[in-house]
Amino acid sequence: MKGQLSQKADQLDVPTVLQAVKERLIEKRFNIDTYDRTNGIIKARRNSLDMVVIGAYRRASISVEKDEDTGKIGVEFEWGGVAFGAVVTFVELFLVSIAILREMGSAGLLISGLIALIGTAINIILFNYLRARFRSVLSRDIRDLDDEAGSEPKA
Amino acid sequence: MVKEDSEPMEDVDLMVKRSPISGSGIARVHVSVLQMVKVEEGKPALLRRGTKERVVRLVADEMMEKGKVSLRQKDLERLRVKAGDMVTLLPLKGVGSKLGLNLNPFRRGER
Repeated sequence: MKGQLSQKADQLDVPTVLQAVKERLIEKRFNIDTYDRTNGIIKARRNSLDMVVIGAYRRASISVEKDEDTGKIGVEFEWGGVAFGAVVTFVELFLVSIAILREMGSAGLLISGLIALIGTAINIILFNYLRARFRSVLSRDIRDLDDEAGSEPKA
Repeated sequence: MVKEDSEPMEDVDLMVKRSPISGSGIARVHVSVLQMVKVEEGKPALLRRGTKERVVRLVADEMMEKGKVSLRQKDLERLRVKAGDMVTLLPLKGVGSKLGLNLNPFRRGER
């Protein structure tokens, strides 16, 4: 899943924005895999055991570029892990539900499937919420950092 | 000011800098500070100022000045510090070791 963000930020450079991205990723409990300051790329995964078990495994690859002519910062997001998280959620919820409802026979099977589907849908909605939230938070950070850099006296 | 001993340190004194980024719970420090307190990036550590304490996740930054820590506004308020003040960064001890310290009969060598 891809996403984009383009924002005017005359005072900022790529490493500063990349650092803000890194901060936000760590805040959202991602582990950093790659941090390439020169090429403006950061890759991270939320792959701690607790997150994987609850179906919240996420993968992110974010690249930052600056257009020197227009002064615009461009951020490209590439998200992954939604399929893996959905499968984990479905299987876990299905197994737990079927263990509880096995007395009900085929109705129990049907209800378990339904519960698992609802859980999976919630997981996907939360994934999309994370993407949207991350994008909006980063947009605000770029604005705040640009304002701060603009207000600092030049040496 | 950063203590620059070659021996492994338990705590580091750092000067506070305000981060323009909103939110809380994140402290940005120079890469060398992580090695000093022996905490991995993204893992929690303890910030202390007098009796006030705050658990934060550490983010390494090569561009950050050595001896400084960048904190977000909410963390500044909770620690009751402002830019230019000094805080102490410590590795966060696990619950087990904290319990061990509080229960005297279980401390090694004490009876």
